[in-house]
Amino acid sequence: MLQVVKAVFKLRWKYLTRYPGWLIIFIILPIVFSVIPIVLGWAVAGSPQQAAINFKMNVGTSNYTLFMILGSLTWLLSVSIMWDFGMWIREEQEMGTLEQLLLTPVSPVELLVSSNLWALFNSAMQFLIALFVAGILFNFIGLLFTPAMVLTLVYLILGVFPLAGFALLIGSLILKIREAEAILRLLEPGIAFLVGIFYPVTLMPTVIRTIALLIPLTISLQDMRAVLLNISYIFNPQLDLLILLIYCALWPLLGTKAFNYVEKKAKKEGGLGGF
Amino acid sequence: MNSIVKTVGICKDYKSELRKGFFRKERKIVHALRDVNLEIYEGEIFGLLGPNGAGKTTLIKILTTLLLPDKGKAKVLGHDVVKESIEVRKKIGVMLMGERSLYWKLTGCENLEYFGSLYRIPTSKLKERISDIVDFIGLNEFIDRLVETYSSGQKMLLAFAKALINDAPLLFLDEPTVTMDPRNAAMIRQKIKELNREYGKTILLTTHLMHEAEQLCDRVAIIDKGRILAIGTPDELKSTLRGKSSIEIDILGNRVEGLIEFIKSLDGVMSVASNYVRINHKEAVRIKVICDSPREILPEIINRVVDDKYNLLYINPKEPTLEDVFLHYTGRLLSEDTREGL
Repeated sequence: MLQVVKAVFKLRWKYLTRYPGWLIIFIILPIVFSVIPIVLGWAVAGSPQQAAINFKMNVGTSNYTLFMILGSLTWLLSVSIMWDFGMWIREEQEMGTLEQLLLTPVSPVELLVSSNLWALFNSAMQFLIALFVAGILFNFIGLLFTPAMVLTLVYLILGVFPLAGFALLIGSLILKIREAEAILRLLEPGIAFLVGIFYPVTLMPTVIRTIALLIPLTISLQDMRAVLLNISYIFNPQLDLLILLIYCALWPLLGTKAFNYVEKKAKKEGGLGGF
Repeated sequence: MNSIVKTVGICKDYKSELRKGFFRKERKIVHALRDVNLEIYEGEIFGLLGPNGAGKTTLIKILTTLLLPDKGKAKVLGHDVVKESIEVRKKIGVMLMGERSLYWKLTGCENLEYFGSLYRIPTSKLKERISDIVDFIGLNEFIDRLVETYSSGQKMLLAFAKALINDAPLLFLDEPTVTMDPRNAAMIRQKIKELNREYGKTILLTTHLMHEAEQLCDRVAIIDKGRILAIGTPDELKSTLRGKSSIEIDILGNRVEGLIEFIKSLDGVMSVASNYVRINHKEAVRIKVICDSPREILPEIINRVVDDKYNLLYINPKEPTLEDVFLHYTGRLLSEDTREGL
């Protein structure tokens, strides 16, 4: 298994470094993306100070910059994992290499786990680098070197791991209907809305909040904010942790089941190597 | 002889959809394989000879575990291709889809390293194996360049090298020389022979090139429309036409229906088929005739050609080839594309 993971990491790293533009985009994009609502907040409130007062009244913290940055980074992290993994399947299919991979004695699950691990690693690295760059730019770098950051990383990992299962589910759908871009583009705003990237999920109506809680990142994001900004958790730290742990088992299981089903069907119908 | 591949009653259907407008689709079942029974023995080069769409690639995909058969059983090196797919894949080398099977943003060497790792070959052994393969096929000149800079032929050579990475005792080569220039194609054929004679590899290759099958294969199966029509050594297959002759007639232009009908009506003519060819940059039709005796029908054909003012380029009576055997069994030429809506 380790040799396969190593081989996949090496391959994907080479591909990434041969298209270096993406590296830069993934670091700059979340920062630019967060600046938009921040400036909008200033415009609505009249000044940065007034914006901070309003924000504290509604959300419980005046550090709206870090709040927004965490939101947009988490959203981009989810987008990145879904694109990385979803497009990986589609690109391998289009290039013709998916069939070649399935001709090797590596089981599809091993390949999926390896590729998913890469997607997680790659996205988590982008998250951390962008967070530190933003920390320097927006003057909250000190906060990132406190013990609270360790707990924040725990919540991040617990939110990201089930997302890999979710990405697997999306990947299966892509393998079946071959419309990777359409599916991913549809999901992006949906997740942005539900996860609450620029506002606390607690402000949303109950029905939407319930749906949002099915997405592990909703809990993960709110709890990261709770740790770093001292605002409320979704339920409480213990229950949130338990739900995230359940998601860590549930989502990958669902994703693997879906992929196995689609792969078997594709082998039956002969659709693995198609465009 | 030790049987290394065995299929019993393999059937495979594809469902295809033909668009008949924006909302309307017509569903069609394509019988890709019908009751395929085949046995390949250790140490032989076995050829699947058939036109495009005959079912060759489908059969290879089933034997290499990429596709599940609808009916029937197949065993490769003693392992069931459905139930023991990973065991099968460990012991086979496959060249499928040629240049589309590679990562174009990697170098040739990186491609071989990647696939070698997926076969769990230890790193030190893998480097040695890659070096041996590169020397064997002669890839030294371009192995460290990105694949995207390769010519079509170079990509095919790398795809061939990739099939050898795990040093498998059984190789599946799907149209190994397609898109290659004649020099590289001849070189690959030579290497296939070497792999078989000197390294003891059993090889199953598909081709629609009659001369390739004749030159390489110990035994050949003629496949058409999903059915195996005949199996034997090239000589055995040609002996089914013992006492018969083959005539090739090249006519300039493309209006030869009348002449073909006339030839079909002659006594002693068994099969007639035609295809378009380019001769000296001009379009021509090549008519192939299998008959009992060319001496009896040639004068009549020539008279008809003269009377109807056909522009005759060439007439060549000759011994039957595998192409003629194919024509005899199917009534068509190997160069015809028989795909059905796939």
